[in-house]
Amino acid sequence: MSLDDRARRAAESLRAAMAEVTPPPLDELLGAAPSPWRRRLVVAVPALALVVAAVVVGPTVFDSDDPIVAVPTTIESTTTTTADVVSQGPVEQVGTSGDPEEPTTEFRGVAEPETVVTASSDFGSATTVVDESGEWSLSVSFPDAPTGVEFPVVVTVGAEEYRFTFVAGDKVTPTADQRFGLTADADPFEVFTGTAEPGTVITAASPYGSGETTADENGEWRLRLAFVDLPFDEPFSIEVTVGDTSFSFPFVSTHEPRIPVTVEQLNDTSASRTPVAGFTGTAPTGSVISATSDFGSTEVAVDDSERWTLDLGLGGLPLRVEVPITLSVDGEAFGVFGFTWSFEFTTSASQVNSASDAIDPVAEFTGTAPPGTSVTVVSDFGEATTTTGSTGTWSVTVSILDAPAGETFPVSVTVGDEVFDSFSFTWTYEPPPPVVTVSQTIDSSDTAKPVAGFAGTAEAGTGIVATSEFGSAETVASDDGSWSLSVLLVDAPVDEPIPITITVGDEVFEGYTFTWTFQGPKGDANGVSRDG
Amino acid sequence: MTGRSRKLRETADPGGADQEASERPIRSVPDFESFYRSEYRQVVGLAYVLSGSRIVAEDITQDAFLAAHKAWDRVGSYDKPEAWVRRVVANLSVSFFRTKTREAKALARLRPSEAYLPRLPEPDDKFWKAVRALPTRQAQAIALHYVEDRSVADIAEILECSESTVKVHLHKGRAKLARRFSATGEVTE
Repeated sequence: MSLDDRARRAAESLRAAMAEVTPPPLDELLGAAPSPWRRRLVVAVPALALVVAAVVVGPTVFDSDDPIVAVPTTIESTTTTTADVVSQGPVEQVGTSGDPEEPTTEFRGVAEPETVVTASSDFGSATTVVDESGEWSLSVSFPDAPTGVEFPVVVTVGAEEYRFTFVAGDKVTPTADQRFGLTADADPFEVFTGTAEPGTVITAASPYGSGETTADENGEWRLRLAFVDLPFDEPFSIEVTVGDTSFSFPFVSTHEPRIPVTVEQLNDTSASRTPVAGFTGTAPTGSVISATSDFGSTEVAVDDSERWTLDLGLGGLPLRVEVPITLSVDGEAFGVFGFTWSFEFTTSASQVNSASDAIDPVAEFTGTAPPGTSVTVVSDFGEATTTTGSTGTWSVTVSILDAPAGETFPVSVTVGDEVFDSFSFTWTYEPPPPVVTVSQTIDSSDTAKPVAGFAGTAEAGTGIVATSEFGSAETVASDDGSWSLSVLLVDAPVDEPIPITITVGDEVFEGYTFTWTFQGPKGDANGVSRDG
Repeated sequence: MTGRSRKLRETADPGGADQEASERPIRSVPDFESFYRSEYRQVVGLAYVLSGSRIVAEDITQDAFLAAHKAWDRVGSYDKPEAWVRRVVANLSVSFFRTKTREAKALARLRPSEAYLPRLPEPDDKFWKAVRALPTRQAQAIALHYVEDRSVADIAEILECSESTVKVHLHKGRAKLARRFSATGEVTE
């Protein structure tokens, strides 16, 4: 698939998604009638049995032109207040003061004269005795009562007991405020604050983190909720429970995780003969990381793992000199890193072959030396020179000429100023045995002296015999394996083929003939005329 | 909105404000609401490609149209008011994530998830993510080229640069995308 095809497919997908978007009504966009979604999210929550829960939708704070740095979302519950203390039986609570500075309340009732009436609580008590009229009233102060916290007050009239509750100041209602609602941070968190009766346990729960805190003695609480593995651009709900009251808040992360480009140099020096500079790091998939220097370059494309490793082989480096290597990401320079080659060269020579049975023998030597060192190999039968390359290695091949077969002779190798003279070389060449051949060099003659001629090859010293009815001859193959033989055929008839057999060692060669075509006066082979 | 007659500037510069009106054709300012309704979806798509967030894409888009509405007497008289809106979106997208104020506003406008731009299939989302990873100007040029099939001249007008500059941005951006996706075998160069 080409890039354009890939792009077209992505664009079509995007257009399909765009088609599902509905532009908000223009008047909402322009602020004439704030749309519901410009208001804060409202969640109704079941309340306590004796508490009338009212969920208050806070007025929008987003229609102002003032800069907004955070968006608190408030859900408040209202409950009965201290003024609503329930009257029970013959005892009536006739007045209260919820003023936190001077919290007091008053009870009154009717009882038998002389009856002792007591009002007691954790934060204040009072006693009176019913007078003759039978009517009584009792005022109680609670100077140490915590603000906003409901507590029981027990009124005892004789043997009867009546229970009331009292709150200094306004009763603390459970509230929860959201601080942010979204985050663009890599380490996402949310902060909730609110009020609740002191000691109330507050919990926050979400698919990506949960937390818990307790309301302090002032009825206030704060909870910082950290998230783990938060998805990008996926709104979710956080459930906050304040005592028995629950709230739900939306949250979304606008942090799109992107792998940062990092480069780590694995080695800034090398003592290896073939130096390699290593780099590793991270980068978005598809990025091309390249390393360039005067002594070599390479590049690598980052795969889906978003991690990369790059080995830069360097040739021709100067020794112990820091050279710069430039790392680039998608063609843009990321940084320059230094690299030093600290290899310690040694001078050495070794012989690859100390003998050869080839017909054209060569002697081969290798070794090491600092780059540029001259190397010479010398023997009585050949010599060669070379110069060490940038890697500090050398190799020489010497052609051996005219060496005596089977003899070992010395070879000297000079590397720079150092001489290695312990080498020797042997040419072990053994020529193959000659092939036995026979060829007839003279198969007829018109001279007065009939002589047949043969020649060929055979192992040196091999006996060769030519035999026929009119004469025979023999010879021995020379040192170079060649031989030749002439056979005088005495009294050979004229114009008749005379069979001749050649025996070379044990091999017999037949089928050769000789014809004497002499036309002169007949004579013997010594030139005597046969005709007299 | 009913349009008013207004002199049309000769150049296609959608953002300029100092050029003199002279002897040029008269044209009426188009109706903003029609303009808003016809352009909204396209602009949301562009904002999404450049910002990467479906939520904030709408926020950026709405801010751009609000800005257009406030200056509609001027913007509406341009040859291509849609170019002006796109330029605003392109600029807002660049600095979006650095602005806490805008983040807060995005939440204020948060709607139920089904109301904003649907999530794209993974491969397509990955493509636009790669576009966003390009240098800003390259990403903007590539987005306008692929999302809206804009010509080089159009893109130059929107980004307020020369056509040759746009060609360079497109060339470099396409080369990087090709390298990025060919490295994973997803496209052939």
